[in-house]
Amino acid sequence: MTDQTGVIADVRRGMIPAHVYNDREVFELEKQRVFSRAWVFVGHESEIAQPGDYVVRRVLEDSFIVTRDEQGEIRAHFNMCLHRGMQVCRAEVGNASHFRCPYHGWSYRNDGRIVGLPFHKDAYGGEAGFARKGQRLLPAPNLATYNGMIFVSMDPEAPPLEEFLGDFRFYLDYYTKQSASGIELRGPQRWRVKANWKIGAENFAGDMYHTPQTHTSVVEIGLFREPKAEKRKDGATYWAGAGGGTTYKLPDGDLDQRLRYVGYPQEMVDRMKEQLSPEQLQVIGDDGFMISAASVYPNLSFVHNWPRVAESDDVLPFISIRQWQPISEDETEVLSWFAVDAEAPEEFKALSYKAYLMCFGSTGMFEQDDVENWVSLTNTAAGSMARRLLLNSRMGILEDDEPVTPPLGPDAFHGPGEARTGYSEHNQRALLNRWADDLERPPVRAATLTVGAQGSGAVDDQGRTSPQASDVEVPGEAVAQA
Amino acid sequence: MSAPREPLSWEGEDVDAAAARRAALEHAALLAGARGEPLTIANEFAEVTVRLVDTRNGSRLLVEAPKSGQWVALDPMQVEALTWQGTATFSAMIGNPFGPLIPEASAGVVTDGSVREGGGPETLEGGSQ
Ligand code: FES
Ligand SMILES: [Fe+2]
Repeated sequence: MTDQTGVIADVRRGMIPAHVYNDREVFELEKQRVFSRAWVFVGHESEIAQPGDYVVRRVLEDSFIVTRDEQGEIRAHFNMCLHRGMQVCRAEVGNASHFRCPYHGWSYRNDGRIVGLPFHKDAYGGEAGFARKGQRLLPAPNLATYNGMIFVSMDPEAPPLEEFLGDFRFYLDYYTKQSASGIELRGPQRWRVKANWKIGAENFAGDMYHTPQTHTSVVEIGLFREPKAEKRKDGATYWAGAGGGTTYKLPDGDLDQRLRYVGYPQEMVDRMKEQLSPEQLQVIGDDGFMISAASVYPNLSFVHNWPRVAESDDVLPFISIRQWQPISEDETEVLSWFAVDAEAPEEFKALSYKAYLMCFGSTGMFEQDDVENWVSLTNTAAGSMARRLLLNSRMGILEDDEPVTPPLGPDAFHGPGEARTGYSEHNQRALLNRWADDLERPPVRAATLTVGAQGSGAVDDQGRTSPQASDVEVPGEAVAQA
Repeated sequence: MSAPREPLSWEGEDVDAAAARRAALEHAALLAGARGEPLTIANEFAEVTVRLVDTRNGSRLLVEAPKSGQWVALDPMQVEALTWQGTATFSAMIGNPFGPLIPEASAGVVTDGSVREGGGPETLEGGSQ
């Protein structure tokens, strides 16, 4: 494999070798070094609200059954039968207490434990030949949740999720915790675009600069009140922990007025005031910034916008969660969810969903505008000329690396991390710097797991059991249900 | 007059209470997804109602005994598994009333010979009891 040291050095100084957006070798490295260790989003608890509910989600090629078991525990099982490797669940969503492999009929409880092999006695000599005890569908090496957002990591030794997300949690709360009940999700819509996965992640992380140009038509038809060029640059971008995003500057007013300005009814404003921290509220109420797009490394993005709905001048906010699931160096599966506060009034939920569909999702106007650029970029990055071109991603820093605009002080921006107003590519560089960090680290050593060894369960070749594999007992399990 | 006494409690009572709370929430969520009219089947010994309930991603059959308050939510494969049973399975269940026949901790894998394994001497017969 080609040495990528040069690529990494260029990326670190904000000069991006154009071919990284369409390069098979780079993509192979990303598989081994990025997606083999990062925490990757696989769904939200509200998508598996009741025992037995499951969704099937992927991390690259690995399919996982993400389910709430009969005891209410959230689990992610590798969707591969322990026998000959057939995919156990083929529907994308469902509800089941047990899964039964379609090939030869091995069956599993929804907590992953194997219960039956047809003709166990005749074919295997019963328990003496194949001990069912301790055998289970392979659990994801690591699973954790934050505000109901379920993440898995393929690295059993990954740092805890909260540590990985770091200070980005402060901003994640705006999207996912507007009331004590959190969000509920609709979707996802799922479609493929011929574009490299990093482009969407970078765009949502900090590209305020494209809004006035790419989305001109959306402003022209009066759908969106905000993205006029002179307004967009008044917003702040911030980077904190594993992610960063963009904001809009709000007109003068207090916290309540500003939240109502983007279309939140007072009852939702009141719940946010209970739920968010004083600093989180100060960013809106004192500093006057409202979160818009954001990305968490490596491939999860958020958007919060407030377009006009219906005929009036009234705007209404919506939230979308989206994932840029890599298929290859030049193809990405986009998963786009609608998210809304679970305690929001039904009428708000309906209008917010309408607002989302107008802007994002496979038919959304912002989406259409964006993707045209990303496909074209990916396409152009494939050839030999792209290998000679270093793209300039240095917006916001001078030749000597000094910033064009200093970061906002703690009185001007109450959130953690580094924030500044105006157009820049600080966030895109921060995202790609994390990417460079991962590409430089040696790949995670893949552990092999043995099936059917007497009483061993899922144990790797270094004798480690994965965190969930040893965790078979479920608290309260022996309690009869009343 | 005496000092206020610590309320008496049995060991594990808090665990039971938590499980009961979870079961109550689960039951309410299932009922919220009820579809169509419930069916009641009764005789002089027992009475149960059966309802189709939708969860977010699928559906179950909610079987409830109003007198005891006990209930179970069965998915299609559990109901199919009933069609494989002979009267003896039900006799065993009825002979051990109000609790599970097989301890939950076993996860359904019983290896002491008391539960027949697939491929054993008894062969399946079509039809019903
Ligand atoms: S592959 Fe699943 S039972 Fe054979
Ligand atoms: Fe855009």
